[in-house]
Amino acid sequence: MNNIYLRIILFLVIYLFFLVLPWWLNILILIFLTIYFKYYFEVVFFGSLFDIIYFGGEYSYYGFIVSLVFLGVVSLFRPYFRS
Amino acid sequence: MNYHLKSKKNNNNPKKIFIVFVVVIFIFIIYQLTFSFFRSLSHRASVPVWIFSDYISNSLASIGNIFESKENLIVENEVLKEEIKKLKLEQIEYGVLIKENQELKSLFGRSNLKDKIITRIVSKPPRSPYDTLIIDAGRRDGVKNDSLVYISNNIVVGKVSDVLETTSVVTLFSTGGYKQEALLERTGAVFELIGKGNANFSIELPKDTDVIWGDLLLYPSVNSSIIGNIYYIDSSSQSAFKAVFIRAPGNVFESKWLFVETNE
Repeated sequence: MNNIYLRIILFLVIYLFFLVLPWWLNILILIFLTIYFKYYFEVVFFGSLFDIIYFGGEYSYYGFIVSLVFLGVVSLFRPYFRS
Repeated sequence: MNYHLKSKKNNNNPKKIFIVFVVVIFIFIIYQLTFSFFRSLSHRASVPVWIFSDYISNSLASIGNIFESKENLIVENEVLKEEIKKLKLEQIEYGVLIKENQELKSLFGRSNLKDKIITRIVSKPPRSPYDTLIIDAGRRDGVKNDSLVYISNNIVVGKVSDVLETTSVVTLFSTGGYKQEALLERTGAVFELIGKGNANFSIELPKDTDVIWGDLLLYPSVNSSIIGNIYYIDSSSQSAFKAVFIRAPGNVFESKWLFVETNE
């Protein structure tokens, strides 16, 4: 239960960071959180948010696809780098 | 004899992952269909945060001024006053030339005066990973897709790439990989600039092409708007080409305001 509260608070904090901090710093934070938490699906939300807020065209898939693939790769390799 | 009991593999995990991915893809399809709605919503929610964070960072930046010595400030003030006087004179001359230029164009039936509105930059790199800017003017203010965006009267920096009701997304010409035609002011030759990010461009030209340091590159239209000037030419390589590097004048990333054309 504590973990859920932590993730909700982190979600709000990361959302604020997302609007204020440089994009590369946000990506580093998201990479860390994706590795730290099991199935950190919020990363897909934030990846999509990069496209929604900042992309210059009508729509883009980059943020969504990259975050989804990264989450998948981390989930597959999790048993090897976390006990 | 003792044998280790093999732990039973949890076969539910791949199934769970598959279901979750299907759900995520479903959400993605929904989000693609409602992309502009979400964009509009997130921009509306983000603009106050961006303005507030800019206010805070500007306030924090000015704290350092407290420790500036009084003598230095007086000297700096005098220098700036002199510079203002000089710039005011230049502005008057410039205004006369602009007027004369427009009159000449209208005599030839090519009056191309476009209305511009001033807009505030609410978000700019390094926040954006795509080298885009977000401005606080949108459809409501007469901004259209592909409207040119200026940093000053005659320096063009990019184009509006998406317009919402109250905000717009501006793609800079210097965005990585963005291709933009430009006219060399001195010779009239047309080149295709390739954006390199951070207000820089490059072009690869045959070694005998007539370009020199400081040459101006203009946006191809009746109004001569500057895109950038050549600051370095690398012709040292053995190949038949030389790399030409161009930088946009003025620093759009330090600017707070931009001008956007509102009529076609």
